[in-house]
Amino acid sequence: MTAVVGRRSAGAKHSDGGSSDTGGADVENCAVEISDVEVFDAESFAAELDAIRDEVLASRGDGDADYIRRLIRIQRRCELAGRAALIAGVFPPAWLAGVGLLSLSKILENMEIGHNVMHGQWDWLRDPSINSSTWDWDNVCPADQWQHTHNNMHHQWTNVHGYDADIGYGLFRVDPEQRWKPEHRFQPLAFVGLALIFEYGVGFHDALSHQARLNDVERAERRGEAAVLPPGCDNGPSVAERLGQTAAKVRRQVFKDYVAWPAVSAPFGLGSVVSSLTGALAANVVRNVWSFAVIFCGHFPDGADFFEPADVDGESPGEWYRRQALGSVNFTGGRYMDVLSGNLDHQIEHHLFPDLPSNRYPQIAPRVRETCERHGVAYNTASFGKQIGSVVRKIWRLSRP
Amino acid sequence: MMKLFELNFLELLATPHSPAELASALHPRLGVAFGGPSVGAVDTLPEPATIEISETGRRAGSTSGEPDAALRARFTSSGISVRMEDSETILEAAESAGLEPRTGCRRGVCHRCVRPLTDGVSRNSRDGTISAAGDTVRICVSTAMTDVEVDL
Repeated sequence: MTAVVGRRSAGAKHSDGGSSDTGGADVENCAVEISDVEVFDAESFAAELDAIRDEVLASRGDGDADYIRRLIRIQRRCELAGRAALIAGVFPPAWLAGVGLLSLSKILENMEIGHNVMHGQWDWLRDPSINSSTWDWDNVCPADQWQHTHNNMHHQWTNVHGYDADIGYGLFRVDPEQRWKPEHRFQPLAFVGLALIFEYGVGFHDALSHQARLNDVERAERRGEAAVLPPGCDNGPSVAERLGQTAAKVRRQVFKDYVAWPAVSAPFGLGSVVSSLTGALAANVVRNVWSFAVIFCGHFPDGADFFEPADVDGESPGEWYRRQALGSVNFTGGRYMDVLSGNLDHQIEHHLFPDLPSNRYPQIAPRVRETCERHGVAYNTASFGKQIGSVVRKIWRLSRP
Repeated sequence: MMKLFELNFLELLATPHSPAELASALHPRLGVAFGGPSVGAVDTLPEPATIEISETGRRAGSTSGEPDAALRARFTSSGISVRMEDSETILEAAESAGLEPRTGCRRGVCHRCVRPLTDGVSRNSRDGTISAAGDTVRICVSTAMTDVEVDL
């Protein structure tokens, strides 16, 4: 039985008021505070969450299989219908419809399908075409690199400074604990810029964050300190190899969207070629902005906690669960928000159980919330508008020292 | 057909998926026309693994008279076969044999070490799930319940 005093969990924040009180009053304050500090029972927290997980595992079946297969079919029909509409896109309504359908296709493919398939959520189907080891997504980021930076480093070490490269993606200061650098003055501008080209940020993130890690190791060695890569970090492919893999994927994606499909439109005239090209560009931007907004709401709004490597030293399963919940943020929305955000409106459930089929997150969310709250683990949820507003304000606020 | 990159033009149109996958979204038969699997081939859920495991954890019948016979893991791509120690994971067995499979978190979270199990039965020590030939398994948390064969 391990019981650990709650660190940075709900209600554990102290106020420093009353320092001018007499000694006697201080003792009294102290007594109140000790009784207020929650005792976190890591073992029963883990057992209760494991029970939720086991129930979902045991009840996976035809309904779930139908869900993902139907969604993949819908997404691919959207893509083909969107491309067809863009061929007829010299008529503005057709162009708009084409952009809408192609955007929807890319959003569904990246968010609810690709991201979740690559987490292994559908490996149990035993369908080789819907498997984490074979899936590639409609995005310039190579699947293998994504699995390294995202599944492995980010999900294992969520919000741990120095381990999780997704804290501000090496560009943004999203926690006051991050040292301010002069370039952070421009982060509100970078915020808008990255939103527009987000898939390229994702595509080069693994290579660039690996370079940053290697730089850290080198700097530490020069100072004569023992330096190692974060635990579990893959030092296999060199940065140059990673850049090469991304370049190859970029080439293929660019060729598909901006050469191959416009070429298919060529028999219908120059107008069709231009429409296919501009339509694909618009759809990529729509997908970029939407996925950027959803992903920035996942761990950066106010209330999300950050950690230090010392915090995770010898972390028990229950403490791992707690860190995942404290570092993640949900937002509210209905069924359509669930699908369009890839169920990342249930970021907390996703981080507790990254390999459960995402269509089950809404179903288990009330129990997860109740379990968290009973154990004194903050469960951060608000409307999408509030969460993204909180991120924007934070990006602005932390751009100054 | 125009050859560019390592893919042909049709494959590039459908990238990162295959033309057959895209076509079968319109109609399964159209997918077959583009070289996809026959209609309904993968559209049904497989039966869950129900292979009988004897009390000693060996496949019933396969070790008759030799209850202590150690389990073995065979890695098909490299042609290596190793003895599995008790509660050793397939990843540990592969590494002790000198292989360097792709790994990540080593705790069953990240799915970077997923490989096809081509024969035998394994158990996911994290959640108790049983996998059989035809499944893909996270080798970092999979222990053998029978002799196993993994594409590695």
